[in-house]
Order: sequence, then C-alpha cells, then structure tokens
Amino acid sequence: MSKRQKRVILYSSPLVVLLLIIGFGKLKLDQIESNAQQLAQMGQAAQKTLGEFRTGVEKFDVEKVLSCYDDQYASDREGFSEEQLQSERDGVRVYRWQPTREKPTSKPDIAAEIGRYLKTMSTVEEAKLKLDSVERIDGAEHAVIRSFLWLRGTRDANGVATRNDRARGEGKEAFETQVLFRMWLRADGNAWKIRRQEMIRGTTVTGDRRGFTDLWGRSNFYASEADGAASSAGIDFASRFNPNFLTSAWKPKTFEIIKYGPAGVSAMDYDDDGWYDVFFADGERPRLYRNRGDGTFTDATLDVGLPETMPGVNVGIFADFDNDGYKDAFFGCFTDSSRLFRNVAASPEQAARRKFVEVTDTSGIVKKGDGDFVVVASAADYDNDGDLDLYTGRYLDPRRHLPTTLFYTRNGEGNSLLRNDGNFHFTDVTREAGIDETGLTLGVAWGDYDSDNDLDMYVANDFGRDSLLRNNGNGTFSDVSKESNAFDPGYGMSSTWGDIDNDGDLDIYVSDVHSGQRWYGQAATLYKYLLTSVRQGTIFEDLPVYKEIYDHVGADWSTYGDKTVKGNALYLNDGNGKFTDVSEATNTNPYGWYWSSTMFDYDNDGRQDIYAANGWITSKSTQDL
Amino acid sequence: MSAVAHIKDYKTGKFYRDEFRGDISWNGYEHNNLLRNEGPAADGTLQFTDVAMATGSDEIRDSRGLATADFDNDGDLDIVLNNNPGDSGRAEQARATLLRNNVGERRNWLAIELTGTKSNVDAVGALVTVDYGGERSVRLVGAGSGFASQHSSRLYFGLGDKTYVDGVTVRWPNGSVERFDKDQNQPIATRQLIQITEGRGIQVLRLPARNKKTAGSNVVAERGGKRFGGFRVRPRRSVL
Repeated sequence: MSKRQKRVILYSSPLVVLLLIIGFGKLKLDQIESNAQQLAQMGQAAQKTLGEFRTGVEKFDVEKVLSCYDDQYASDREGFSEEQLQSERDGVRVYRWQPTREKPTSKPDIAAEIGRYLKTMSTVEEAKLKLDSVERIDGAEHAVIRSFLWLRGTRDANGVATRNDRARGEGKEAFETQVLFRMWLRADGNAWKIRRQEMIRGTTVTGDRRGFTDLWGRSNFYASEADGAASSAGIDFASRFNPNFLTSAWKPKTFEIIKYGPAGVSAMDYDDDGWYDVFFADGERPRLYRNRGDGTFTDATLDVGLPETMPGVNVGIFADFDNDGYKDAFFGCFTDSSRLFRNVAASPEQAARRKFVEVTDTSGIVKKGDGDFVVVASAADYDNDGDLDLYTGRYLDPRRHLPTTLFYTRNGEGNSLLRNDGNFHFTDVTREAGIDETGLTLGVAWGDYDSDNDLDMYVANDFGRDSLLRNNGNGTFSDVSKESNAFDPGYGMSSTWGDIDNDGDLDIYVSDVHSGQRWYGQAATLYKYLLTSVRQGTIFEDLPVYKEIYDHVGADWSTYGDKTVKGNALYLNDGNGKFTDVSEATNTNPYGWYWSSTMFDYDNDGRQDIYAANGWITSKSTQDL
Repeated sequence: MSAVAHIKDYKTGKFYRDEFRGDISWNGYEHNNLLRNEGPAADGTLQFTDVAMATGSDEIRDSRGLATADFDNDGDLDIVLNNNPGDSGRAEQARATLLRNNVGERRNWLAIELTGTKSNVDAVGALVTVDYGGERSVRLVGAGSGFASQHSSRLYFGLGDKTYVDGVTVRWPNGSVERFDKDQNQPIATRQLIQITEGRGIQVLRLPARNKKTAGSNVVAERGGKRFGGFRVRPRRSVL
C-alpha cells in the first residue's frame, strides 16, 4: 500500500466514524443545534435560580430561598436532612447528612425546614450553589439537575444557635457543608423553579482549624504565635511571572494564558544534614532556602552557587545523578535551555558544605528550538543500570499553537526520555524507547504498577488525555492507557503514585479540572463542537485527534465530554494491571481547578490522605467566569 | 455570556486572552483540599472527607507546586506551596505558603531512609512495606511527581497507636527484596529514623533535633544520627 493510500485511509476512517456519530446517531443536524442551544439556555437559567438560592442563604433570607421553589413543590422525601456525627478526632468533627424521615413534603414544609436550617448558622463566610450536571431535559418545561451546595461559616458549637447566642458571639465553631442534591426543575415564565429535590450525599465538617499552622508572620517554625515577621520562618519567596512572556519576542499571543502557569516547588536535603530544604521555581527568580535546623530557613541561592535569576525555570528536580551521596539538580526551563548542576563540596576543607556547579554545556541536554518548553520532570532509573535517568514533560509553544481541541490535544512539543550515560552526560533516547508523547504535559511520575521490577510512567496532559506508559523491560515503553483502563480524558494537571488502599500495589491520583461548567460538557455540546468544526472546515486538521478518540472509546461519545470535566481521578490498581476510577464513589473529585496533588498520611493514622492544590486565576473581581 | 459562542470562537484563541476575562476571576478564590482517608466503608469503598477548612490547611491562593516533608523533624509531614501571583494585583497573593503539621506528631510513626548500593544511591523507585499490628503500609521513593513538585525522599509511615513494627520489607528498584523482621529482643521501635543500606542492613538514627545554639548563625549542623551500640537487624531473607 502506498503512503498516500495509507494516509487516505487514516484520514477517511475517522470521518466515517464522525458521519456515523453525527448522521446516524439518531441525531439530525438541526437537532444537534437545538439540543446544544437548549442545554446552554436551560443551564444558564438554572444557574440563575441557584444563584438566587445562594444569595438567600448568604443573607439569611428565607423568602428569597423560598422564591426558588415551585408552589406545587412535592417530594416523597425531605430535601433537607439531619446531620449525624460520624467521627470526632484531632479537633475535627464529621457529620453525614441523613434523610430524617420519609414523608410527603410540600412548600410550607420546605419553608419551615429552610427557616430551621438557616437558624443553625451564625455567620456565612462563603457560599456556593453550583450546577453540577444536567441529568435530563424533558421538553421545554421540565429538567432534572444535580446541584452542589458548598457553605462555610460559623455556628454554635452544639449545632443549634439561638439569636441570643449569635448576639453574644460565643461558643462558635467553624463549619463547612458540602451537599449534592438532585433537583427536578419546572419552567415558570423566564425562571426555573424547584419542584422536587432529593439529597444525594452531604457532609458537614467542623473544626478548630489548628491541624496546620500557616507560618506566615512567624520568624521561627516552632513559634506558637505570630511575631510580625515578613516571612514563614525565613521563607519570604514570592513568585513572579516569566518576564519573557511579557516581552515582544516571546509574548504568547496565541495562548496568552500560559503566563499564569508557573510554578513548582521541591523538598530535598541538598546538604545531607538531616534537615529538609526547599527550592521554589517561578518564571524568573528561583530560590533555594536552606533549613538551618533551628526552626529557620535562609535564602542560600547565591551561597550554593545558583544564579540570581533563571528566567523560565518551572521545575527543579534534585537527584543524585553521579551516585556520590549528594543530590544534583536539574532545572526544567520553558523559554530557554534546561540546566544541569552538579553538587560538589564547597571547598576541600568543608566537605559538608555544598555548592552547585553548572554542567549543562557538557551534559548533552539541548533545548528544543528557541526554548525548551519543559514544565515538569521526574528522575528514575528506567533501565535498572544503577543511575538515575530523567523524563521531561513539555507543554505547547504558546506563540504558535492553541490546544487542538477542548477534549483531546496532541500538539505539544513532545516529552523526552534522557538516559544517564554517567559523568553527567545524557542521551535523548525518546525515539528508541518508542515514546511518542505529545500531550500538553503537566504531570509526570514513575511507579512500577505491574510489579515487574521496572518503572512505568503516568503522564498527565492538559486538555486531555493522560497516558500510562508501561516499561517493557528492554528499554522500550508501550502506551497501555486503554487496556489498563487508566485512560483519562480530563485536563490532566498533575500525577502521583501511591498505595492509598493499603493493598500493596500502586494506585494513581491525577489532578484534573472540575469546573463550574461540568454541566455544559455533555454530549449535546460535544456534538455541537464537532458540527461547528465541520462547518468551519477545521475538522480536517483535527481528524487525527478524532481518530485517536475513536480508537480509545469507540463510537459512543455520549459520556466522553462529561469525563473530560468531571475532575480529579483516583485510579485503584486491582493488582493485575487494571485500574478503576473510583473518584465519584470515594468523593475524591472535588470542585475546582487543581494543580499539584499528592498522597501523604498527614495524621499518621496509617492511611494515605490526599492534598490537592486548587485555583486557576484570582483576579480583581471575585466574580467567576 | 453565551457558552455556545465559545465553540464558534474556539480556534481564534479568544478564550485564552486576558481581555476576554477582564477583571473576572477564573476558578480563583478557591481553597485547597485535604481529603482525609477514612478507610473503607461497609461495602469496601474507600471514604474521604475534605477536612481542609477544619484543619486550617485550606490555602486560598492560586497554588501550583506542592511539596511535603518533615521540616521540623517531629515525625509528621509539613506542606509547602508555591502560589501563582494571579491577576489581582495584590502582592500577598504571590507569597509562598508553609503549613506546619500539628497533628501527625500525636501518633506514632517510623521514618525510613534508603541508600542504594547496586541500585541508584537515592533508591528512587524503591517500595517499602511496613507491617505493624496486622496492618500494612507501602511507600514509594520518588524524585519528581505532581505538578513540577518533589517530595521528601525520606519516607514516613503513620502507625497510629502501635509502638513497634513487625517487619520492614524493601523492594529495591531492580526487584531484589530484603526483609527485616522483628526480633523479640530488639523490636523495631517507632518514633525514630532508620536507615537501610542495600545489602548492608538497618542502622537506627535519630532525626536530628532542633539546634538552638545555631539560631541566627550559619553554622552547618552535623548529622545527628549514630549507630546504637549492639543494635543490629540482619536481613532474614535476601535475594540479592
């Protein structure tokens, strides 16, 4: 078969699939338009109703909340429930919401419930009521949605505060409530009203907020009170934008938002004195803080021989590349070369004092074009030869490219596997290793998931999709995302391995985006996107992407859109190389826009917990896009 | 704004420009989460509870990188966060966050450092299993994970109220396994640091204690650990 024939087949097969999906999937073109329109309008109207509800709660305004309910409200079960104490430890109480009793409920009952509920709260600090998803739209009049109530504030420590308690401002505790509801809505003029509702799951947590102490304002790690220091025990790092992103040469017109990406942080003991130090990477002025062992940190960047500025450095990986017992440093850079530094004794007399000496020029590590586009990196001995190799993850060139689509993107600059040849020299073996990873990589992590004594790799890619690369043990890797069921089409932002269920094998936790627009990421929207790209002619450039989606999920794309925006994923390893995403069942896909996340046992109870960094762009206005 | 319009404009990149967003935030003012592992429910499903607010670890800045390590050597993992400046113009948004853990130290723990001899010295990729009182925990040595982050390569095992562990098993990166069982006379006690060197057994170290004398000076503290007299745990089953 000629190359041309192959290409014709490659490009026509997904087109056929698309035609099948669009043409024969019981959907007519005008139906695609109207379904998408209906979903968008319905969702926006529902959000308006939920917004009113939220404002009512914030203002303790029963009437306003009640105005969101239909006069014909009728439910078999109560919409609000009673809190039952589940556990109490470490100054934290956890209550699960349980339906109180099953009895027919009407609008006056709801009014009474809401009145009672609002009285339990003394203050509301923050309130959100989000449209989680649109489960069903029945014609123009009826719809079923899932909504998520998130509230935090203070209340009487016993859970019931009187007006007098509130006036005194005593005996209060902080609370946070998270409840998922199913709501049946009915169109009433321009607004949608709640006709019936049901609690799916709910939790209220109260606590003394003292499990962790934010050390800002304390000059010493051990300080019990703030003393007005302009640092956290000496750490006064403030991150900056990469100045290149603001210059004319690099100003990324195409994907301007890249500037809000940086940056990383590393904990390591670079001088091996038993006290963990910290390295911060930002877009301009990375800093290394040495832990002095007396409860303070000091900026040792220049002392250890690192440059005053390293514009574009996004990540620092500290690993002993020459096996001399001290951690060397790799700095992954976006707008310039990545750099390699060797950890050496500061002087022959002072072996315990360490400094870094740059060895980039002789390292074989070269940039990709006029930048290196490296965002993340991870070291591991993938070939079991006793020295640490490197995997670097790249994003796209923001001056030239946009993510191809909102749900599957492969136009990144391509990741690299760098083999350690010894003597601080590395060889790029990406091609020989069979790795063709061109997602917009934001997370890389090594772990032997199949217990075959070589390290595999989970790669989290922004704008979909993530990859599980199995180490074949012979220097090559295979993409096993599909057969292992670890295929994640979400906006991958971070990946980490750990045994979270204590069964002896490695599970995966991936950060994704669970945005307020989850409701919108449904089949109707995806089909509309496909139709629009046919009309705009962009479908042809995107065909390779559509073919890959088809290869992974087949012709049924009805849930694909939802999976891209359903948030963080916890993949449990069954011990036989297969994974199950249990994030919905275990409540580990919270709302938000997640970056780094990790498994760690903060309370030393033997079970690994999850900490996940959340937040995309905080601007002047608290109003959210 | 009409969400449908985004689809039409997607390929223009309009969506990603500052002027599109104006002064409006985009998933800003959102708190970090701490999902506490409550163990399996009756049906076996793991249960998690978000205790970020209740524990005071609910940082609201736009956090990016995240690293955990025991910065004060008290036996629990603290948190350090690198936060993006964002678009609010407020300087305090850009400062890093250091969160001291006040909880973990209340329970027992075991810290383990690995040194490879045939494997890489950092022992990256090694899996350590600790058996204690019928429970089992596994930790992995890594050098880079999450988003642009690197965590402590000294491993921490939470042991609840157990005062000794029954066994420690190391699977070195190349697959060789060493197991160290509890010796009735010399149990592996908790609240200490042990160092395991590939093929050379266990050494008990203390976590370096706070050096009050060096406060305010730049003196490099010496490594606080030393071998305890007579204590030795030999590998019981080694396939090296």
